[in-house]
Amino acid sequence: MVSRPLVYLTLAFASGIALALSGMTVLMPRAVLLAALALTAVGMAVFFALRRSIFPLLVIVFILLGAAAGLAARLSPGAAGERFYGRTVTLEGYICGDPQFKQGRTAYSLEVERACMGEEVARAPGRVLLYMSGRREDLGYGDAVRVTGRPYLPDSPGNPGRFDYGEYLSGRGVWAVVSLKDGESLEKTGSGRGNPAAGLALGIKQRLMEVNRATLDQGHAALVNGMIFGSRGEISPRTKEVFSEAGVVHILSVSGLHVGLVAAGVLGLMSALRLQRFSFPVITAVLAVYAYITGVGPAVVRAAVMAWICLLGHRLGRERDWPTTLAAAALAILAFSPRSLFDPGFQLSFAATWGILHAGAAIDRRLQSMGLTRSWIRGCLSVPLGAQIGTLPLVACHYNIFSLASIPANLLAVPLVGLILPLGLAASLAGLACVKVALLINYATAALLDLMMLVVGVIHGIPGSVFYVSPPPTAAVAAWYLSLAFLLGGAGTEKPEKKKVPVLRLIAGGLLASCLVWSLAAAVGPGGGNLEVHIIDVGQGDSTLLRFPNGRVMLVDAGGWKDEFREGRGAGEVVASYLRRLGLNRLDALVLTHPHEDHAAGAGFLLGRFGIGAVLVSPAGLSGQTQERADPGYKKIVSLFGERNVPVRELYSGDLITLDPRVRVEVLGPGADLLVGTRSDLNNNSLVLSVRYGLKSFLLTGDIEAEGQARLLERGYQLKHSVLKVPHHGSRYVLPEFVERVQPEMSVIAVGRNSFGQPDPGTVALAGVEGRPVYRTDRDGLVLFSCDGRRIGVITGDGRSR
Amino acid sequence: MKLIAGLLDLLFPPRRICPLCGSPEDQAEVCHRCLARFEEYRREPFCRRCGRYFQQPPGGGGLPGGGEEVLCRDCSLGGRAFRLARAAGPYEGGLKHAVQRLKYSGRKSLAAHLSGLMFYAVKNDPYYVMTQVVAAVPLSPERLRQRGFNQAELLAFGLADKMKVPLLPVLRKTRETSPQTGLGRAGREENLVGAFELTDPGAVRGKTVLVVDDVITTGSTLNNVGRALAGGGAATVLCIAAAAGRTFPDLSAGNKTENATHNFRPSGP
Repeated sequence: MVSRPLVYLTLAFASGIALALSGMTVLMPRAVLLAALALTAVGMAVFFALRRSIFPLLVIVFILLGAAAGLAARLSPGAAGERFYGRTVTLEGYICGDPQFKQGRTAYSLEVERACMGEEVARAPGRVLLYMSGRREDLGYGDAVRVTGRPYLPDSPGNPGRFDYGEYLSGRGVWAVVSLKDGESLEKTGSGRGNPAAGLALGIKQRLMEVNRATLDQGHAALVNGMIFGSRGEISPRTKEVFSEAGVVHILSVSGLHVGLVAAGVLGLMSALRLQRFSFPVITAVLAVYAYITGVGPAVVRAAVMAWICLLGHRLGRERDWPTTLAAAALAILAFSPRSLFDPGFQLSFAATWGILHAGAAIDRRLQSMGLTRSWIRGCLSVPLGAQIGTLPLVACHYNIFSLASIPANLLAVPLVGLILPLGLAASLAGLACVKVALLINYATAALLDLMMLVVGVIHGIPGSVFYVSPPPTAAVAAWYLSLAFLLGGAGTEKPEKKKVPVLRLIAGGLLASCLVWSLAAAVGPGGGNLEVHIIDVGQGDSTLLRFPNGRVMLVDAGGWKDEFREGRGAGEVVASYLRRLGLNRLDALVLTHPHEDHAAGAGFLLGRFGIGAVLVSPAGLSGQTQERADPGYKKIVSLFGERNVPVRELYSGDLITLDPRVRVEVLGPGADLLVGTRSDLNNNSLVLSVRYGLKSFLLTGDIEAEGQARLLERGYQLKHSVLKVPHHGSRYVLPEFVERVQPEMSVIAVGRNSFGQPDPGTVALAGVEGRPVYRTDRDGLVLFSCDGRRIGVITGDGRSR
Repeated sequence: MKLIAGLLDLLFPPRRICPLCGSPEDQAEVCHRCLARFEEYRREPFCRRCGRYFQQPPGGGGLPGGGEEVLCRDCSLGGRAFRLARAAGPYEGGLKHAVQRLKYSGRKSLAAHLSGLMFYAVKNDPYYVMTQVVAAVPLSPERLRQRGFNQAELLAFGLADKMKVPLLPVLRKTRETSPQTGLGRAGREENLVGAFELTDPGAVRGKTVLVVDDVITTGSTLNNVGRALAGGGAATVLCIAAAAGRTFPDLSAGNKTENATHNFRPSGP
């Protein structure tokens, strides 16, 4: 028998799940693969059974169990409710979870029991997520409700690597989302459903959170409630962004750290009361309730299971074994929800713990041998460093972040959490009896919160402390962990250094270093000699990234959703995360073709988050005179760029943008005499760019309408281009003569859900004449053209290349 | 039961290291180097009564040989309420560390190994073969609640199992005494007077009782326990501990009586 059987069995189970859930099965029909797998497994099982080796047999059994669990998770609900998608349905059920508040909206989890569609009545079991603007105090866990709305499941993201909300929801057993708009109703029809114990626990949690809301200002209350009770929705997005870039986002949600503090607190309390005898059952109960009310996240469950096993070991007088404890926690989570294996939260939580317990312990020993005798000083260095080593490639994969700030930020912020957590909890408990006491305690809490924000903010603000990288290749991630495991000898604590062959160590170390170099090279290296034109899927709007053969980048428009000028967040975030995934931290030029929200508003989010070489704009809406006025939000963004010393230049036809000598980018419009009095002056005076590389060319047309196109035709430009980005989201104001003159080999339309009837079928037909391909971001997601000067390759967001 | 034990082994895999010195082994057993050291301990000179090992005098040499019937200074004064006490080894090094981990870190799995070593120390002794009842030195209820277990009882459990003698809960500690550490011999004796009681005198009447403790420091605890047992009518009181401290031999003339261990009369009522 091996020394840590559970570790190997858990790895076997996880690999079974990975086999069943991963994209690797795309290569082969799943049935064939599984049959082959099962046959091999049975063969090996017989072989080992005959040889009476029980352990390999068990490993195979666990791989099969994992595969079975993974397959079962694939076939989870959703199918049952599909026929209701997009139709008006009345749903009856009860609220089966804690209401979540997020930026003026409330989300309820609804356990649906009955669905009525007109005359048709159907049982529609399963969970629905209900969004409602504002907040209703009268609705909580266990209330029966009737709601009328249109269920839907969010679309898969159009840009690769973007978080798939629909997939995430169905992984949690939610088959649809219903967003209540005006005229759709939500009425309470009863109460007292669900599990009374759960209702009680959640009710108490709401009361405690209410105390914090009453005794702290909004920002502070959101922070405390997020940190103690895991309700993160109310924390401002900017705070979350800063914390995740600084590598300390785990302190904003309930994580292993919090569970550890809670367990330690209860243990201390029990021994102060001389009730150690009861600490085991009491802590078991407290951990279970805490994990439940904070939403059963993977980090919480991991920490709770580990704490529980440690206590059990202590009670039984058994030596605890960290790797086994960690494996047991993973196995427990994966057995209940196999999809967790691909959940970033699950992966990061386990990777961080592994890093602390193995890499951290190794660092600790090294520091000790260097003469650092104080264990807490060693811990301050080795714990964050170990966590960093454990999570580095995964953070790069999932969030594209490489943060040097995380070590000092953790070092300084984590001790503050150790103070904030008990204070906040004490305040909310005291507040149930007397609000004034809570108010008093929360003065201190608020001061500490401010200190924490200050510390994280300052560290985050150090230039160069955070940058974005493109995700490392999976093989590099795997190599990273394997070589680490080898370097640390599996589990650093087990053997007092049996001398390893130095050559092997050298190889492992070399592998580790080459992983880093490889990933970094892939992350910051130039695009490989091609001109790339990325039509990013930003929903309804426009954003095009040009990556030149020499690696310089230019973004043409940044998208923008409704009200984004005012809110400052939306499509800009989509664009930013797309750019970051490519490892871009800087734009050499940002072009805003015209002032409309769906093209320019996203630039507000890029401001201050990306280094920007220059902003190039159309004169329309700024210095040029037009009848249609630009949104003040647009002028504000442009002037903010100026304040940050980013040069802002208005372009006219005839100007050249030279970022790469091999690529000629020429401005074709607008002329010095702006079009005035057209259907939309701002649209018609959009910047029009002609991009030529070798034998191939792209025409980017902004939102020019018939008048703008007519002007281009009049001017007698060489309009023939290989690829046409169809003007104005494919609206009906596209002249047939214009498309004829451009004579594109293929066209692309940037368009999303809208109420303007875009793209117009006539325009699509015009572009697609003679069977020429027309790509659309609303169907294809991202459209990426890669051009070597002679040929153009196309890749779309669903991964298919054409 | 076997299933539960297997599951626990899965969750808390027995670490394959020597429980005393921590060196990696094929089995989670005391390694042969440690066993050899225990063999040496057996040849070291120790008090024939209380089992404590003799301190090396500053000049070196002058220690009585292992075969001689030498008592320590405490035992030569008389007043021991037990016939014999022995320990698996001196309270130092890996053994001390193991006892401390058992007692203060709650590593109960160590009790099995330690009781094995204790069994090894007594199994060939004719006196100990006479044992009819095993009893553990009790903790006060207060201390028991704090610690959650009685380390002496865990040791006694393992030992009784190996000796195939019943372990009976015949003793009770009636009050919390201040910790023995930091008290001199007289103070220790004083501190414990009347602290132990028999729960069931009938169970020990006329029997040879083996009292199990974790460490013999001065022997005061065992003295008091012995007195309680003798008061209840126990015929002979034997003692065994996982470890014993070191003390000085009484080298004055007349100590080397051959009857030192044999002509024993319990003092007290």
